[in-house]
Amino acid sequence: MKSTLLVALACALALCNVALAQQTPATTQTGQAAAANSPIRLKVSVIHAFKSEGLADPKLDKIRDELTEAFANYKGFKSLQTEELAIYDPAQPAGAQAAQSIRLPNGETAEFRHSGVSAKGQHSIRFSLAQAKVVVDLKAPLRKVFYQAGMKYAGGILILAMYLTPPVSEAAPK
Amino acid sequence: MMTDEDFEKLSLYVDGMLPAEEATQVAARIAADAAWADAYRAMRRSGEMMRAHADATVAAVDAEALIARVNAELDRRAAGAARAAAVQAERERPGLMRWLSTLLSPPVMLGVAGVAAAAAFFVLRQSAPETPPEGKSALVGLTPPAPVTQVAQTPSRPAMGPAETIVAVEAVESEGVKTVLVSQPADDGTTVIWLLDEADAGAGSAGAQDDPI
Repeated sequence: MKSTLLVALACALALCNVALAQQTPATTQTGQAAAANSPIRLKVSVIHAFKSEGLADPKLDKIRDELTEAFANYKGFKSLQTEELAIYDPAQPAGAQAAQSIRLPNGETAEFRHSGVSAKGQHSIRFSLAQAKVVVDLKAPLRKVFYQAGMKYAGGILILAMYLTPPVSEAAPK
Repeated sequence: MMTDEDFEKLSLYVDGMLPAEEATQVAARIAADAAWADAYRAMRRSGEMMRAHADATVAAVDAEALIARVNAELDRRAAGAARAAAVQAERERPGLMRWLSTLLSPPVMLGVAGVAAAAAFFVLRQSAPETPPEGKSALVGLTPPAPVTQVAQTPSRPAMGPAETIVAVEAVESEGVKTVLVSQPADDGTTVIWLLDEADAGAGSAGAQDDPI
């Protein structure tokens, strides 16, 4: 009797698992299709980090904890500028996305070029700093902040906080 | 008139148990005293009869059959003792173990294996990344408090396999004098691409231990 119940339970679990396995890819594929068919914007927030205590910049409230943790040597953070770049246009063929650039307070130019979307929904981006002669190829998902830091500026450093905004219907504020 | 002590000494004489000097004295008494002589003859006769009876009894015994019976009896008793020990051990075994021995029968084990397999598949499918993090190695950084999983200074591509939910730096090219460090936690941490002057890059390990060797 016990064995019969256990076998029945195993079968039920297996069926539930199969049902979930069939459901998840469909959801993922829907999200990937939406990502590939929607324009993507790259938000770039230029932040000045310095070692003395500074007033809390309300523009950075949403990422303050992350800044404090990731840049523990710096005590003050001030938002200098925020740019929003149309980095991906679904109407353009893959590999033909226009490069977007911003001018940084230290005179450097940061350039961003979208180079494709992976099957798993990650966006390939080439990020370059012309004067520093540095090129970085990276893959980033939507709604995930990542940083470039280290360029010296006004007794501190510059931090570029970057964030790929999702399709308009899913856009999250930053 | 022979005393009890005389009969005892005579008995020892008949059995050959007396020392030589006393045996000589007893022999002299038997030769000189009729009562001692009659008693001696009676003892010798009864002794001979007893030995004859014993010899006849022993001769009548089938030694091989006797040994076979003894061995058979020993085997029977050993088997009985073993059964008794097994029964006693079964009685003394904890109830949980008896229950487990019943539970671990093949049909029940099949069911348990099915449940375990389904549960394991379900959990693994929920937690395992589809792309395993590969090539994550060394630890260096200027300030990042989280574990840094990659150092890149013009690395060969790809530098790191991407996962779905993290920012993955695939390649870094630095033709200038800047040093590029990538702080990229293995888990869902903060990815920072550090661009440092050479001096700063050297200072980047200031928080690390001095070379102990």
